[in-house]
Amino acid sequence: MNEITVDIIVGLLSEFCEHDAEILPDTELLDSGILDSLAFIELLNALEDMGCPVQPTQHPRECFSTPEKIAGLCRVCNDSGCG
Amino acid sequence: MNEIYKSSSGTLTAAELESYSGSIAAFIKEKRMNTAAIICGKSPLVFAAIRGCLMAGVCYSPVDEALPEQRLQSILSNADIVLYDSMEAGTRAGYSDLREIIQNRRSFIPSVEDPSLPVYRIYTSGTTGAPKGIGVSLRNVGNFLRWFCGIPAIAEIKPRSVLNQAMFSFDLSVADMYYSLYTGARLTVIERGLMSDLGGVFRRMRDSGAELAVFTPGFAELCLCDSSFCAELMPKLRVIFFCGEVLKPMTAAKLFKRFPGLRIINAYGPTEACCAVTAAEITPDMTEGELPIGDMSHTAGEISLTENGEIVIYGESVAGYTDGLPGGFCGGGSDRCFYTGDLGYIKDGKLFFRGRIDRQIKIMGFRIEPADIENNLLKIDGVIQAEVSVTRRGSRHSLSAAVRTDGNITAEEIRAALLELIPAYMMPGKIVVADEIPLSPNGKLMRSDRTDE
Repeated sequence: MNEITVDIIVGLLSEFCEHDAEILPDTELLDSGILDSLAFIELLNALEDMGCPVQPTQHPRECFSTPEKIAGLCRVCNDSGCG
Repeated sequence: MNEIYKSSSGTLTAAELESYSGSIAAFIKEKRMNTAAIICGKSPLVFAAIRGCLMAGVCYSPVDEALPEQRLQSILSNADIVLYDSMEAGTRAGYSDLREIIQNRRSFIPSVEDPSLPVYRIYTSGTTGAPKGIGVSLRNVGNFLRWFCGIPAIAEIKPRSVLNQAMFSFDLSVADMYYSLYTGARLTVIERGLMSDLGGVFRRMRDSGAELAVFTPGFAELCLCDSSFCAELMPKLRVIFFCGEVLKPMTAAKLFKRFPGLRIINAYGPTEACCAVTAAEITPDMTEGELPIGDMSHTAGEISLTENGEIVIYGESVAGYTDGLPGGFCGGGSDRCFYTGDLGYIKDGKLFFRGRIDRQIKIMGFRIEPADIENNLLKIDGVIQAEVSVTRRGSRHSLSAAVRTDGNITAEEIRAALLELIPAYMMPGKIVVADEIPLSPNGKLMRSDRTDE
C-alpha cells in the first residue's frame, strides 16, 4: 500500500472543499468551515478507497483539523495494519 | 426509568413533560399571547415548550439559536412572546426563560382549538432575502400523522422508541417529534453540539434503544464512514425514515449490509405540505438504480403531475405562507393545492424525483434559494451586483458568488459581512469579486448554473 502523504491529503481536500481558501499542509480546516460535513464524507470515502479507512469515531475532532494531522492519522492507520 | 425524552442536557419522564408543558401553556394563556417563538436547541424544556404551545393552542415558531442575529430578529419580531431555555441559550433580556416559567407550577386544561389555525410556523429560505414563514395547521399535522402511522413499516413495527437527528427548526423533526407526542414513544435527540464529536453521536445512538430513526440521507452517509455504524451499535433499530434530500442507492445498499433486516423508507414532501406526503419502502433489490420517493398507493394527499412534470399536492396536508402571499399555493376549498417546483415522474405506481424547475437546492436537507443569498449580498455596503451560481459535482451541490463592488470591499470582507446575514449552511464556498458580471442581451444576469462530470 502506498503511503498517504500530506500532499495527497492536500490534493483531496482541494478537490472536495468548496471554499476560497488555498489549502496548505497546516491550514486550519474545522473552525474555518473549510472542511464541511459533505467534504468530510468525501474525504473519508476517498481514503477508504485508497486502502486506508479512517474511523471517525476513533479519533477526536482535533485530529482532523489540518491536512498534516489527517496524514498523521493515515500513517497510524497504516502502521497498525488496519484496512 | 420511564423516560419519554432523552437529550444531552437531561431527560423527561411522561409526568415531568405533562407538568412542565402544562405550566408553560398556562403561562402563555395568562399573558394572552397568540404566537410564540421558541429559540431552539433540543433541551428537555424546549420540547416541553413545544408541547405547551400545542396545549395552549398558540402557534409557535421553532427558531434555530445559531442563526445570525439579524435573521433571528426578523423571525422573533413576528412573535408575541419569545421563549428560551437559559441553560441552553444563555440569559436573553426581554425574553421569557422557560426555567423561570416552570418554577411556578400551573395546571392547564387544553381547550379544543380551531384545527385550521396554524400550530407551528417554520421559516425557510425564500427568494426575497428574508426568511419565508410557512404556517402549518393542526389539520395538516393530523393528516400527516395518520398517513405516517399508516406507512406499512411503521404500522407493522409500531416503534416505541424514536431517534431524532434534525433540528427542531427543520420540519423533518415533525416526523419524530409529533410521532412521539402522538403515540407516547420515547424520543432521543442528537444535538448539533454533539455533531462535532461523532463518537458522542454514536454513544447516544447506542443508548437510545431506538427502533425508528428519522435521518437525512447526508447524516447516514456520515455515519456510514465509520464501520461501527451497524446492527451491533443499534440492535433494536428496525426502520429508518429518510426525507429532506436525495437518498443515494449506494447509501441504502450499505445500510442493508450493516443492518440486516432493516426497513428503509424514502419519503418526500415540502415544508408547505407538512413534512412529507409520499414515501416508498426501499428493498435491497432496488439499490441498483434510482430510488423512488413515493408509493402512489399510500400518500398523504392527492399527488398529480403537470404537463411539465411538476409535482402538485392536493388535500389536507397543504398549508400556507404566513405573509399571505400565494407562492406556489393555488385554488381554495377541496381544490386547494401546492405547486412544489419539484419535477417528478411516475413509473409502476412509484414516484421518482428528477430535479427542480428553479434554482432551489438542498444541502444536508436545508432548502436554499440562491436569490436569498444574492439579496443578502446586496445588503452589504459596497456590493453593487451579485450573482450566485450552483455547481453540481456528482450528487453534491455547491454555491459560488460573483460580486461586483464599488472597489472598496474585498472578498474576505464580503464573506465576513455575509456571515452576519445568512446561516452558515447557506454560505457560498467561493466568493469572487468581478469587474463585470456578464449580462444577457435583455439585460438580465447570465446564469452560469452548470453541472460538472
